[in-house]
Amino acid sequence: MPSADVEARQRQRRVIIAWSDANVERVERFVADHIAEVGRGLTNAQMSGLINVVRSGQKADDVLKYVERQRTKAERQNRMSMEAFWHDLAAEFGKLKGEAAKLAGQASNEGGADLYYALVQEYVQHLSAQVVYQGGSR
Amino acid sequence: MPQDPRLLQLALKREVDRHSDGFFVQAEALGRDVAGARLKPAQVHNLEATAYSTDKLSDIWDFIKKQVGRRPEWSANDVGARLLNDLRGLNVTAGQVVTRLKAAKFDVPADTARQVHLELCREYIRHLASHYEYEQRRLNPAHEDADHA
Repeated sequence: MPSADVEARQRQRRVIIAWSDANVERVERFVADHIAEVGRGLTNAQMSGLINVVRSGQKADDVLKYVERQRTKAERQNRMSMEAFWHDLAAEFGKLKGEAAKLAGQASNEGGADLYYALVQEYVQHLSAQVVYQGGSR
Repeated sequence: MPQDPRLLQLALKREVDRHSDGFFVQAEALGRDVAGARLKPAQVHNLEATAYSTDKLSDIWDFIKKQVGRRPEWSANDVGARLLNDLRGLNVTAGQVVTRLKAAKFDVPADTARQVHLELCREYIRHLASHYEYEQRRLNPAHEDADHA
């Protein structure tokens, strides 16, 4: 019989799967809202960098730091559409924190860190696929 | 009295099988076009492997999107976009299945529609892969000869 810990992990995995499938269209809308202006400004290297941070990082903060670095860089280079892209992506990740807390059934955001990181990972997976798809469709 | 979960599983399987026969012709046509678009067997096998190894519908969508963006074959005849569209459209059928089961007084868990949708996608991809392989052999009989050599 599975231990309480295993059951909790399985429950969390089911929550993540359902959330991931339910949020594909949201990511598609995000990309649709930005891709026309960002266009070729969003390089493969930047997307690869984001994916690498998501895969190799330990927590959502690592991803947020990467996004903030990209936003600052775009600001310095006066690339307004790129700055808006990274700014809005950070705002999306901010919303995920609240969603993770709700999903974790907690009153505050504390303690939902694993779930938050998992949602960020799912979001980035959908984002990278959609960017490749729309780029390939142009 | 609590319902035996095996009864629900049997009812779900019956519904998925019934609908699977219903989109056979549609999958056949797309399988033919996928072969015409010159996708390699490994590309179709990878699609099947993704569908059967994941619990997430979105893993299938993301796989197809990346293929379309990176491999020109997936854009020929719009096969990638059409496949994505067909698979996503199966959510309507999944919803109908759940409605029927609820009407038959089954106690249906919240995630059932998503799981039925995933099963329907697997069925569609299975049909498509079979038709692809059939068409591939028809278009390239030399490969068949080589296999039997």
